[in-house]
Parts: sequence; structure tokens; C-alpha cells
Amino acid sequence: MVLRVLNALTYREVAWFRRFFADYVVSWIFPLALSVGVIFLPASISGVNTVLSRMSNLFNYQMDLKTAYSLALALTGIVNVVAIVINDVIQTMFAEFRFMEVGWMILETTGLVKYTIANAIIRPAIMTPLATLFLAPLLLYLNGFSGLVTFALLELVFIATSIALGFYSTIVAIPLTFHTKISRPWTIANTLAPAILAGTGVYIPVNLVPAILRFFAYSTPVPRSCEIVYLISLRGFPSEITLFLVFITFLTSLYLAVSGILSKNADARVRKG
Amino acid sequence: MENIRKSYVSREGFRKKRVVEALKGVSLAVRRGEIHALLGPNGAGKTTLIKILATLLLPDDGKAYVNGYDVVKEAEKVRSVIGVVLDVSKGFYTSLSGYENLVFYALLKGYSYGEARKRVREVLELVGLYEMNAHNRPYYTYSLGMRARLSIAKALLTNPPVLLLDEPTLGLDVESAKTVRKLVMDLAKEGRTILVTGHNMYEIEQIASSITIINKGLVIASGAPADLKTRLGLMLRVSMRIGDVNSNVAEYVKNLIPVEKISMEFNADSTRIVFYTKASREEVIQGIMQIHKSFDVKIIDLVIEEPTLEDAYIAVVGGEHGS
Repeated sequence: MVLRVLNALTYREVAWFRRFFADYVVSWIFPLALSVGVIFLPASISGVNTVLSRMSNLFNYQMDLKTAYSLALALTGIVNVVAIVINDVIQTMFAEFRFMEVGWMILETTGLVKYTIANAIIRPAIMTPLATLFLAPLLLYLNGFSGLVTFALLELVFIATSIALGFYSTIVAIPLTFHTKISRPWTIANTLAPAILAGTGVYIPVNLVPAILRFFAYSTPVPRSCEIVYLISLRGFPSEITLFLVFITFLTSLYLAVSGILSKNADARVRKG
Repeated sequence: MENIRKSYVSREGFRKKRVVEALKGVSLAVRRGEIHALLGPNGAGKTTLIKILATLLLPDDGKAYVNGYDVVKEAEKVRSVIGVVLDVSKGFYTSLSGYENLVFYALLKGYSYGEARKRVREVLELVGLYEMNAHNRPYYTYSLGMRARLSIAKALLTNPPVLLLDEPTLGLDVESAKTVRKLVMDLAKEGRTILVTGHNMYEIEQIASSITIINKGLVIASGAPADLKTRLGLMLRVSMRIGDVNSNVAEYVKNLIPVEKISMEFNADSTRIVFYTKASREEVIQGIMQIHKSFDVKIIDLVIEEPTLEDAYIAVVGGEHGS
């Protein structure tokens, strides 16, 4: 039963990718601009060497321009993953059940628990490589073959993070869709992603971030993912990656359990009328 | 379906709850291979009933079986023998094409990718979307008629023996409604059991072999359309024009046919008589033939109008008659 739901969702994602290819291109351009801005905007004020020196101090690693730009690119990758997964999972579920009423088609064939679990895995697992595909040629160009190895490791972290975030977003999406009467979920989805990213210290140093934002961020794996992304960009294959995978597996299992309970309740609620 | 009850609880503000009894003990049976129509005003409980049979809603009480399977205990088996049309105006991903939506649905139903593509093409051809070249266009570009066809294609995808159609022609233009009606009748001829809801009496009268009228969650009448009209004691309206001005004709009619109400209109060279009767059509014709023979009355025109299903529906829902 779960397999057929996975099949159907994979087909839907591929169909959507074909139809929304232009949207993906846009989602590659904006992070690219951000990665360029991270290095060259402050460099236009204080010079490239000053920026490299400060980044080296901040990350405790002596960087050249290539390494700094690779780091900036990896950073934009995680920004892309968080923004796309959070927004998409919440808004798609809301649209399916509240606007398009596709929910009846889903409930006619399977249970909500199986659907939400499959959706939380398949959507991020397919969208994440597509949304971060632009990193591959750039890292290859900057670092040669080792750039591709870095890309493969980054993808591993991105996909693991995005699946965890898929379940996390489901936990947010279910109450919004089935237990409230709100009609504009995007106001919440659009606020949640920047709140999580701000709380991880991606935009500004984490000690300057208000505690409430840090709370949002630390309820997700994103701060840990950022740390491991920095390490991969600077050191190639850090030993900490094993611990990270254990941590994210634990967190994903926790989210899976919570989203499973919420889905089961929502299924019962929908069928009760 | 025996004594099905269903209530909804809706919240009004933070504390106040309102309980709406959608179905108050509905019992009905649909014979295999027939088109059974479920009629009733808005809020009568028709859609709730369809959703319960489609396993989308759980009843509070009572038993319901589809093809012999219990809709609560054997929901999976019920789902394998039904095709459902709910709201024809939505229910699909707007950005996917009709073809892609149906392949997605077929994969959810357990078809392999190859089988799904083949079967989807077959049903799209059956409902006419393939020849309209609409199958590859995004769903949001579809007219209401095309959306209705796609909903029916979805319902037919697994080739189910039972179809549950909730107002399949709602909002359609005359031509599209006619196409959908024909499609439903063709499907019934193939031996499928069809439960259809609707408001359009003309349409229901054309397609349904039996009818259940529900109002405020209760069955208030059921039977074949003709039986229903007879049981409700609805009258024939007879309009007759005779070739001379004869004020005695009304008396002749009254003596031969049990008339409820009669009126006459005298013209220069003819008389028009209109009367209402509970007599059968045969009795009316025999009576008029006798008037023609016995009193040498020249009949120029004769129209006998049957009561429509709409008359029956209004009579029942308007509370003029009991069941």
C-alpha cells in the first residue's frame, strides 16, 4: 500500500518538475545571487582580503577566495532547501485538502497516515536535488573532481535534512489544514522558513539572534546541518558526519512519530465529518 | 442501507457547538444494474449519504453495504468496487493535466505505470476528452463540462460495478449535461449499478429507474417514477378542443370521467375544455371516445399531460402529501 503511494507521489513530482522547470531555474538564480553577495558585497566596501581574513577568523580556517565562495554556495544550498521544503509541504497539503479538494481522491484510495508519511519523504527527496542542482557545475568548476565529491556529501546532508524538515512541516501543516479555519497558510509558511534560517545564524551571528528565533531553529535539524555543511565545504569529509547522520535519524524518527499520530487523528476527524 | 444516522458538530465561536443531524435514520436499497436517483433539496443529506457509501465518512449508526461489503468494516473492499464522482468542479490538481491527474490516481489505486497509462487513455477516450485533445492541457484550463467528463473518467478508471455520482451535471450547459446523461445511461446498460443525486427532475426522470426522495435527513418517498406519481395521487391535465360551441360538454365529461376541476373557454367556432383528473390515462381516453361517439362531438385537438416528477417532488418536499 505504501509502495503504491510512493509510486504515485514520485510520478506527481516528476510531472510537476516538468511543468514548473522555469520555477526551479528561478530557485537556482536567487541563491546564486546571494552566494555572490555574501562575498563580494562586503568586499566592495572593505576589499576581498579583509573579507577573507574575517571569514578565516570566523570559521577558524585559513581560506582563499575559492574556498570562501564554495562555502557561500553551500550556505545558499541549505537556505534553498529550508525555504522550499517548509513552504512547499505546508502549502501543498493545505491546497490539496482545502482548495482543490484533491483530499477526497487521496482518502478514497488510501489513509491519511500513509499519504502524509510518503509525502514527507518523497517531496523533499525529489525537490532537494532538483533545487540544489546548480551547485554541481559550480563546485566542479571551482574545485575540480573534489568539488563533485563535496557536492555529493552536501547532497547527502541536504536530503537527510530535507526529509526531517518534510516531517517537521507536516507537523505544522496538519493542525493548520485540519484543525483551524485559517485560509491564508502561506503567511505562516513564509514566516517559518526565515525564522528557522535566522535562528541558525545563517544571516547574522547566532548570539545576536533573539531567543525566540533560536527556539524555532533548534526545534529543527537546521543548525546542526549548517555546521556540518561548513565542515564539508572546508575540510572535505569530516568525521562528524556519522554523528550528524545518527542525530538526524533520531530527530526524523521523532518527527515521524508525532506526524503519524497527528495524521491518524486528522484522518479520523475528516472521516467523522 | 439500514437506518443510517449521521450528525455533524460545528463550532460557533470558541465555546458554542451546534449539532446538525444530516441523516436521521435513512434506509434504502438499490437493485443491481439499476440507476437509482436520490433527490432532495440542498442540505437534505444526499452528499453525506454518497460520502458514507464511498467510505469517505463514517456513519454514527446503522449499516450500509455496497456490493455486499460493509462500508465500515470492509472499507478497502468497498473502495475496490466503487467509482465516485463528488464535486465535478474540483477534486484534481489544477496544475497537472487531466491525463496526469488520472495516472496519479491509477497509481494510487495500485496500477503499474504501464497499466495506468493504458487504462487512463481508454477512459479518456470513453468520455471524449481524448478526441477533444484536452487530456494534455492543465486542469485549470478545463471548462466545467470537461471537468465533469474527467470526474466520470476517474470514477470509471477501475471499471467498477458500482458508481456513486453526486450531482454529475451540476452547473453544466445543456449540451454537456446531455452528454453526461447519455454516458450515465450507457454505463447502466453495461450492467453497472448507479446511485446518482440531483436536482434536475427532467434529467432524473429520463435516466432513473427508481427514486428516493430525502428531505431533512429522512426518506420521505421512494419507488419507480411512475409509481411515485400514482401513489402521490397526482392528476392528469387534459386539454380538449371541440368543433362547436356546446356548454353541455362539461356535463358529459363529468358523467364519464371523475373530474377534480374543469374549466371551459368559448371561442367563435370551438370550445376549449381543460380538466384535471385522478383517473388513469386509459380511462380518460375511453371516456372521451364515448363522448365523441354518443354525443356526436367533433374533437379537433386533445392533449393529455402526465404529471411530471417535478410535480411529485414539489408535492413531497413541499409537504402536500405523505409518502
